[in-house]
Amino acid sequence: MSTARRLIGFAAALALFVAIEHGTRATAGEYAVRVLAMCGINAMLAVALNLVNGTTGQFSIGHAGFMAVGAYAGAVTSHLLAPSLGASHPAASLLVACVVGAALAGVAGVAVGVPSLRLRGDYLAIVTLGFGEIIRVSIESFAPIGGSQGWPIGAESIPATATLPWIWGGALVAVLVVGNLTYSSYGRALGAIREDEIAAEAAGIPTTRYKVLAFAVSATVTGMAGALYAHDATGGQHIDPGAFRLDRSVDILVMVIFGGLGSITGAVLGGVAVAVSLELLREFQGYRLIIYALLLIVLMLARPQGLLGNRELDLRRLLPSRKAAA
Amino acid sequence: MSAALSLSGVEMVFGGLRAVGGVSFDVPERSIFGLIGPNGAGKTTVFNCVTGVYAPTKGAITFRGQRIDGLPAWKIADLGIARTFQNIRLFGQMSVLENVLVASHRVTRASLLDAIVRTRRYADDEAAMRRKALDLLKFFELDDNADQRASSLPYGDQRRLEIARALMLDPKVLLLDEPAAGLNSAEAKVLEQQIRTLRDRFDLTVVLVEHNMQVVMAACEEIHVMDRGETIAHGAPAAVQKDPKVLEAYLGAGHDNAIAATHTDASATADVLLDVKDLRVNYGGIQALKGISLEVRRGELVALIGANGAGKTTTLKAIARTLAVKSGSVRFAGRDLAGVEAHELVTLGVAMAPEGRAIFPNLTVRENLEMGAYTVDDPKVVATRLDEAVTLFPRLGERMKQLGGTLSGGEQQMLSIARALMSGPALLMLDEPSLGIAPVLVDQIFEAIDRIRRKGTTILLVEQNTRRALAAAQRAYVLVTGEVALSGTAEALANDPRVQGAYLGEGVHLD
Repeated sequence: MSTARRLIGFAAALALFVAIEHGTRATAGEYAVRVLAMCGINAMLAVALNLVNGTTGQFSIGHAGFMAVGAYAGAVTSHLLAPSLGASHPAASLLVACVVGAALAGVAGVAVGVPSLRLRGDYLAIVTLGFGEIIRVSIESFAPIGGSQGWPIGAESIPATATLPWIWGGALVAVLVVGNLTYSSYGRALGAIREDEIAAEAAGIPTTRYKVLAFAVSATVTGMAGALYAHDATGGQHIDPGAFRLDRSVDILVMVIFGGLGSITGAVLGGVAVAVSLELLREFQGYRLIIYALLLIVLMLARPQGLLGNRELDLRRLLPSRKAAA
Repeated sequence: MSAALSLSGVEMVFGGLRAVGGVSFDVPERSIFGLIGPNGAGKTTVFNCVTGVYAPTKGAITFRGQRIDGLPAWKIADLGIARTFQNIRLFGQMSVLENVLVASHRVTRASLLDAIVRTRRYADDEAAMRRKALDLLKFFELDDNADQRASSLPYGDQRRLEIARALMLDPKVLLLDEPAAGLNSAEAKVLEQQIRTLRDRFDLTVVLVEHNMQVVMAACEEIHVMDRGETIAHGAPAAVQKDPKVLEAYLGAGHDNAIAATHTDASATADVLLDVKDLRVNYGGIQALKGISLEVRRGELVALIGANGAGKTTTLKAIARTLAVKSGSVRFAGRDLAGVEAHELVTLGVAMAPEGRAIFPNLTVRENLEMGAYTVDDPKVVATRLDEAVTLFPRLGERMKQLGGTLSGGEQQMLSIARALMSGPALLMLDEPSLGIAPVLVDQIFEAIDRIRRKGTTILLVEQNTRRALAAAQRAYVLVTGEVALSGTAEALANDPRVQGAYLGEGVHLD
């Protein structure tokens, strides 16, 4: 596919998202738009974590930390740009905030990954868990960005510029970047690491370097999700450190396992399913999390490999057979 | 002739245990070089030092004039030393083609950004690699299976896929770790020719660790012999074969009469202990067992033989209830085993020493044995059985405190059998006890099997070494592609030309 066609396709998708936002607002109201936005954020987070926990077979349980880095770095960037670029070109300002948030989260990913990815399994989980907590506690005790009180979204603070097309556009970027990476020679190398590290080394793959690479890309995408979350224009009130607790990391993990470890479309479905089911369960109030937990247990018993297993949902497969272009 | 690979004084010590003690040799460029020795000689450890899995404690390894000892494994692979593994290490969940493509990764010129944005350069690169990988698969006659999952391939194909993957690296030196393990004589013969073809076609130096002497002697131009970490001989195959030190270390003294056949033993009674009727098992769409019926009488040793992929292991697993059975019945001591869980079988009196041994690598030998007695409550019984295990395999007695994973292959096999006996089974099922083990230890293991049977344990033996199996058994069943092709007394089958026809292919003798 030529570059021009791809850009046209992306623009068309954004236009579609704008239409969906207006259509939903007109027919189902503001609340439905907000749920759709949550779906988009979740999809980004799940797709990112899947690269590490699914494709590469490592185990991170600190991705809320990368999300926090992206959120606060993005928010600070917007804050600094508010009088200049933010006033004249708010969209450009948001784009810069996303890039900065993603980049800093990526740097944090490398910083966490280099020392810890030499370790296996459980150790990596502990290190990432510790990292997530360090980030959260650091933010709590830093007053200029709101500390434990949080930082409001809206006029005079973080501009609420990330509308539904922004968030879904971000999710589309996440799927394209992670998808192309996963189904490339690099992704094969990551899969080989998951299957057998010794054999992967013997096939010429520097395993530690590749694990760090996967971790960095994953953290970058998570950072972008964080930055968009911080500018949520669909009803976000504020960002606060409490939103980036271990619970959040576990939530992302649940989305990935729910959709099927190793499947990108599964991760998207998992993100959407978690957002929607938590909203649908809202009327049960106090029992909400209990019912949610029971649902997860039932799913794991009935379908331990997740909704899609490690396969991708391919709409073309539903159409009359047509040989895919080599 | 210059050396492709040169080792000088290579030593490898694991926590006080000297696995390799100062080994030196040169592998001439474009030669086929054999590294042999009994189990526990340190051959695989030498491979692991050369390929960077371990950094040798002492000594130097030079590849075409460059020091490589201590470099990371991927770097050594990158320089041009490729290998296969003793216990096949494929990327099981990935396709056959992907397995080969993984090894192309180092030569791709496309960057990560090219891959993410899918540039022309990435597409061209990927297409070229795919063509190359498919050519390799074609060479190994695996191209029809390119999209299949690697773990679903039969054993022999998995071995060949490992070689194809190694060749994708464009290596100068190819290290093969027991490529003939688990192959029958006919397949081994093909392998031996393939190794030569590989060398010529890919311009390689081949280093071979192998127990199959037929392959080693026919294929290798030069042989280095190790025993307990030390060099004991080096030279041309003919000279090494006659070296008295090699004969003693490798074959043991008086090995020819190691197995006294005991066909006429009358201890077997007519009482049927295990009765299998019309057993069927499917793997996906493939019929692995197409209706197997067999019986094992109390006190008998019954062998299940047949080529790779005939369904021997599948039959054992189906009896042991570790895989799902489609139809058919299994009765043990008169009781229908339908609905019995695998772990309950141990309590009923069935124990298994599985293929690949499956010992607990991080438990000591004693702990491994004690795990085998998990269902036994009386500590006195456990103590007696521990003593019996040591009497049966004195080597285990010397290694009680050693971790299971540090034992050699042969010792692990002994441990696996001894562990199975700890539950005091009425029926012992053994899956390929001679696989990848030096002849001298195979003798010891078969002697032990004979003693176990004489003491009254009924045995169902799966074995690819037909001669051994028929020498040890009273009766045998020959499986061919999931069906019983022949059955009868071991003596009759040993002299039955149809066994060779059905099992080994034409013109190959049971030797």
